[in-house]
Amino acid sequence: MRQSGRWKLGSAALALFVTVFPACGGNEISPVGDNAIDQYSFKSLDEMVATSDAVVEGTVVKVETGRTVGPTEAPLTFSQVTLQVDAVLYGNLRTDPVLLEEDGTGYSYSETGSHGVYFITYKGAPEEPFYRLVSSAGRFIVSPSGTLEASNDEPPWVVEIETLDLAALKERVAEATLAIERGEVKPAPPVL
Amino acid sequence: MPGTHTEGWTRMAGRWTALSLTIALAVVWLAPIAAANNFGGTDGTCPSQCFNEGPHQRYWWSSSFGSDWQTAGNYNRTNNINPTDMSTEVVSSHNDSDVAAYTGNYGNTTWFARALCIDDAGAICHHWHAEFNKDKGPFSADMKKHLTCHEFGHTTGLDHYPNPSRSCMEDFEVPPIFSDHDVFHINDYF
Repeated sequence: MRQSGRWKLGSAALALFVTVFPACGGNEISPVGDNAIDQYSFKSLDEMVATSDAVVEGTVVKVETGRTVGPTEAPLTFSQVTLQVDAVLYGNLRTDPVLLEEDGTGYSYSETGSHGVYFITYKGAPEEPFYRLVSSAGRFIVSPSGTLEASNDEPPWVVEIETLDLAALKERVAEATLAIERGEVKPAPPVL
Repeated sequence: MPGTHTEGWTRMAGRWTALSLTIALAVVWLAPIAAANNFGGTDGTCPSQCFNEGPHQRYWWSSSFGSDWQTAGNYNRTNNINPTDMSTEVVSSHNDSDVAAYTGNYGNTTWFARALCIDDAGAICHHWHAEFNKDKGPFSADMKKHLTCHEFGHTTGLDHYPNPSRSCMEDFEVPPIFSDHDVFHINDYF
């Protein structure tokens, strides 16, 4: 009887543990890190627009654990972000809403409800029907006070963009679009 | 006697002035170097930026980190890290390593390579993963040297160096080297 009681208590504790900590048995989104070599090192906002497939104003409506890729010992688990598009500011979209994969390399993960401007590119491979930020600096969120917060403010030109409000940033994207159409701005080459 | 007393005070004042000037010059000379880029982390910034745990680094090559990548990695251990006040070795067990190196198919990411602190405490990283994305390649032998130089540099504690410099921590047009500035930071800490 006493042993049976212990088993019951143990089972109940295990059930509680599994209920309270569901993530323990499965994949977790990979940790955020700043130490990376980005594919692009943009010198201006115009360059980042020209290199993006699309620039959209949008709102994050859902964040969930995404795919896991890479070697078993060093896996990368994405955060899958559903972005409701409010306006396309540059380029064309393949899907609406946008499914965005984030890996937290050089920037923090998006949170549900955040609103801002996203510079995105389509991943393209059949197994990757997702968008990603064109670079770690490819997201500007509107803060509660109305200012813009960059996903990565390491590039010097990003700091200047953070002094703008959303309307001014959208104007800058429109100006960049005209400069691209005139052939004055080209997509940036990869750093390697 | 009063004259001797005054001379003594004058000499002492002169020494103090010289000492103060030396200290001021040293502060002015060293401050821009120390402030120009961050080296390692302080509490609150690790695991984004962390110091290696001590001046000796043990590297482990995973089975995915092939011979050409190992050549690039060993080039950087030998030519960039070992000449500093740090030292390195390659170990045969993952459990014994400070830095474990992997290549993998991570898909179309924003990055070519990254260094992730897997186990941190305060400003120290006990264990790093250096991950290189094969899907962003192919990478030439020179590119592999650049990528390993940069990521292994992060595992010592080096941050990106945003100013124009001849360093693999920022500039990929130059040979894969640490700048004098990077070496100063490493030697200053270790």
